[in-house]
Amino acid sequence: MQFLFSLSKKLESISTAVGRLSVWLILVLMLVIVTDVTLRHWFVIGSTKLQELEWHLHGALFLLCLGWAYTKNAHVRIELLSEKLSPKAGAAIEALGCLLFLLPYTFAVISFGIDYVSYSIEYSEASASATGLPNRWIIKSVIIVGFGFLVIAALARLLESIVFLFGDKTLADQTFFATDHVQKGES
Amino acid sequence: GSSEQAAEKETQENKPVSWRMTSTYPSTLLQIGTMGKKITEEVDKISGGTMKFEFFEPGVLAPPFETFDAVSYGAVEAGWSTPGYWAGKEPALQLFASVPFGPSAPEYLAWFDYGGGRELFEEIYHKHNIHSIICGMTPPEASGWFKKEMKTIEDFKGLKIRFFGLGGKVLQEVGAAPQLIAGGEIYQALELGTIDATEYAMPAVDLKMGFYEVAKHYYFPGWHQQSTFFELMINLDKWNSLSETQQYQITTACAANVRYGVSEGEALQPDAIAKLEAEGVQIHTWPPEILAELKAAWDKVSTELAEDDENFARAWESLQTFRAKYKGWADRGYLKD
Amino acid sequence: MEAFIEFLPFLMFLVLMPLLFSGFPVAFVLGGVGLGFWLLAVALGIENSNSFFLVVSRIFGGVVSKLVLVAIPMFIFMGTMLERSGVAKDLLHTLQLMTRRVPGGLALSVTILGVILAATTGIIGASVVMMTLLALPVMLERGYHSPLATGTIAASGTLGILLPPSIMLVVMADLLSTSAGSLFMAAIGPSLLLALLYLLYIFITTWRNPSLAPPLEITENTEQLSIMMVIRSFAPPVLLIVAVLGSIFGGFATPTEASGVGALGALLLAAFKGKLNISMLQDVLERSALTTAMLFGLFVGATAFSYVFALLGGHEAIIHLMESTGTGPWAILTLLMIVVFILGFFFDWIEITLIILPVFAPVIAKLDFGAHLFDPSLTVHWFAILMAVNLQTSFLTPPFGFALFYMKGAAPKSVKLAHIYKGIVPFVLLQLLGLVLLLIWPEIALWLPSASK
Ligand code: NA
Ligand code: NA
Repeated sequence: MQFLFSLSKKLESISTAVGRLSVWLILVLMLVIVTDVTLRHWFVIGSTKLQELEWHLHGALFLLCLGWAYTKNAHVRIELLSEKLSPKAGAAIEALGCLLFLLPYTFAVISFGIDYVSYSIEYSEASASATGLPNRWIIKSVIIVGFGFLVIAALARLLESIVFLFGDKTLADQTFFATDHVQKGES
Repeated sequence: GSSEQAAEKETQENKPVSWRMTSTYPSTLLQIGTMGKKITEEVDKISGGTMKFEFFEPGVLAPPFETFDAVSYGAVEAGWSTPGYWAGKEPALQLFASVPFGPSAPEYLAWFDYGGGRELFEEIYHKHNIHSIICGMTPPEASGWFKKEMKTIEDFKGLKIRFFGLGGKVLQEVGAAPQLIAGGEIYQALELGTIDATEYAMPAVDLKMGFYEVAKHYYFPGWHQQSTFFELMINLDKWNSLSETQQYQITTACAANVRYGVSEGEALQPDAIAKLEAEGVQIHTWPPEILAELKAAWDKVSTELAEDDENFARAWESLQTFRAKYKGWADRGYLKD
Repeated sequence: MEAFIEFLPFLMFLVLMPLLFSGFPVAFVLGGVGLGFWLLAVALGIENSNSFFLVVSRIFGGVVSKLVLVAIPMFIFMGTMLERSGVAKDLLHTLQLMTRRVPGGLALSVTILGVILAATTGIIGASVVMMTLLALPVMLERGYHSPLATGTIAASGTLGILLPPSIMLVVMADLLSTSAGSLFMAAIGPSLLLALLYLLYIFITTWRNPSLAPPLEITENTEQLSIMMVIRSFAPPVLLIVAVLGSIFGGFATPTEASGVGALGALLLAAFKGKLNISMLQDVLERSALTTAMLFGLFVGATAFSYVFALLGGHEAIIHLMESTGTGPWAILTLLMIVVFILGFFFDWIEITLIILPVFAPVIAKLDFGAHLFDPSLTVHWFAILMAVNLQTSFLTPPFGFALFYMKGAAPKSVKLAHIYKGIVPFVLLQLLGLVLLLIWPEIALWLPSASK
């Protein structure tokens, strides 16, 4: 159990690190937009490439943060009924949710995504716009990478729920499900 | 041996077909979308109701620009689009949609059917597991809407213009700044001067979009798009599973659809032009000097593109060869006004 | 078996409902249920084993590569930064001082702020999240009744999709083959009408029950309202609004790009107030990114669900149900409005427009309402606006009110979905009232486009 718990913490720290690093894309995106507006208006420089770069950055931002947002509990939940349940039941729901919904969905997206991206690489796909960016496979593969970190985050939380449900009390008390419940009680 | 014969026999049977066709354009969009809707009805009728293509609006199954991948992968059986959108996958396909300073409808069709166009087209598409059929055609587009009058080629320097495809590359060559503006923001961007000009479509469509409300100068001829091909894409495995009769039914319906596109397209424009004039739009014809400069820029761009991509070079060579020979006929065969 | 297959799209919803209430993230329940039904369809032999591929296509082509969606992280960053740097709080505090004799003063101010924000963006996700970040914590801190606070913000946040610029009107213009410009004009009157209805409602309820919106308590520590204070708290947000709207209307930027201008503006304001440092910036970036991921998580999960619904023939099933009733212009119009309202409980606006408009657009163009419309050439415009108001409402109607989800994701953890559901009820009724007024007096929408012809 101790091993599972530390593994869960390791996995979580990976998706957290990726997320916390990716947040700076927001500033990059802001700078690209402002540069594009400035160049166009005052220097009249063609900027299809910059404009495409904008959605590349935005796409990378949210995809790379999906997993981190899960372990940070930032994704919307309808807790009307579930907040009345015991922490044990909550942890069981989380484990089942990961096993039945989150992990199958991410695996499906990743496995079809690999076909999607390898096609793009094989034909060195570029922008459909003659004045746009080359190497479309880069942003397409961020879908796989982002969902990959979501898998890591889901595994982290799944292991944690196993520790909480089946581990000894000292370990269980350190998990998200124990601490989260305390927070709920306070609010 | 016998299994081959069995396979041969199997494809001779007209098994009922019920396929999904995803579209790049909404079914209500004048010509460009309505032709797609029409082909589904024609195929239904010509096959006595045994072949059903169900039209799916863009985004219901596949987003508009994902049509190619959707058909290639076999996620849907068919797609309605134009080869011009797939430049990112195969630059050569742009030459099978419309070509700057390119041919008008009869000459374009002549090259495609008898000048080697089709063979190349099918070869390229089959590589991507798609069988595509030229299945619609539209008349020349307008050069677009400009907020200011364009007097010399110098006026293109620093012009912020929304322009897609090969034409955009040509304009960049003469100093313009082609812009990528989300479809829905074009009207407002033009109104507010975020862009100075936009290319869109033929007069009948432009009229409906209301661009005349925000830009008064409308230029002809559309040097970038003298005629446009539209396509019915079918997943190659699915195409091969059809009987010969069924394949004929589809190609024949498509041939009729091309004719419909041209006749309806030509018939729609005169009224649209009259309405635009009544709205106070200033309709201009490009001065020959400007067209000559744009043509020179296109020659440069097309040479570069041919150097970069082998298939583009082959298609470009084929089209050029045909056009050079065709000129000897066109110059003599047709009245000039 | 045949009947079971036809029932499958509806079964998706029956299965989804209880699972949503499990408390597992909505985004992943949507994705998982979509995948489950697709697998079932493959197992039944009614679906090919390649078609789930398009979910990846939809994530890329429908979410990642949509340029207009770039505005969402930018506006979220702008809102978070304004909240964190105290700009929003100063403004709302001053507004509350100024309006302390007016019942519900702060809620009224928030509604007006919502109208102004609506003019900068046409994306609900962006405006609802921004409004929630800016105003909700302050309203709750001041003792506002939670349902009133959330209802006000959710409703005025959704005005952004009706008041131009509006991505929804653009899509509808495309499907109805009419110009976005004239639809934009037709939407101005109705947007203002709805804002007015919200204002009246807030004023009347808080006047009759002041405990819903307690006026600011004046203690000896309360700063006196002064001209300086007004200038100090108003100048930064006014400057920012001028920068965002000015960049659009001055022809510098598209509304999408204006979001980047707004983000930079909010960053500069924080620096100017001396609040900007690296740990604060990291914090604002993190919170913005988490909110962005929450919102796009919903997009990414919902796209799988709605795709499988369409694959299973859900769209045709709905059209089939509709076509079996109704003749005559008023019957058709009323039926359409009722159906759109009901669909709004379960679907998002894109889905509904794609189900309804392509099929009914040709029918609508031919409807004749006689003398009810002073300009029959604007029938389609009138219909589009009725539809638009109805679709705006769909963001607010539970269980699938996406505005409610966005709000939940951006709100303090103490705000429960139950409060949000409760708070939205009166505003949904106001939406219906607005719809009826528009049906009775088409002029509300049509006089502006007609006058400008
Ligand atoms: Na708006
Ligand atoms: Na709803």
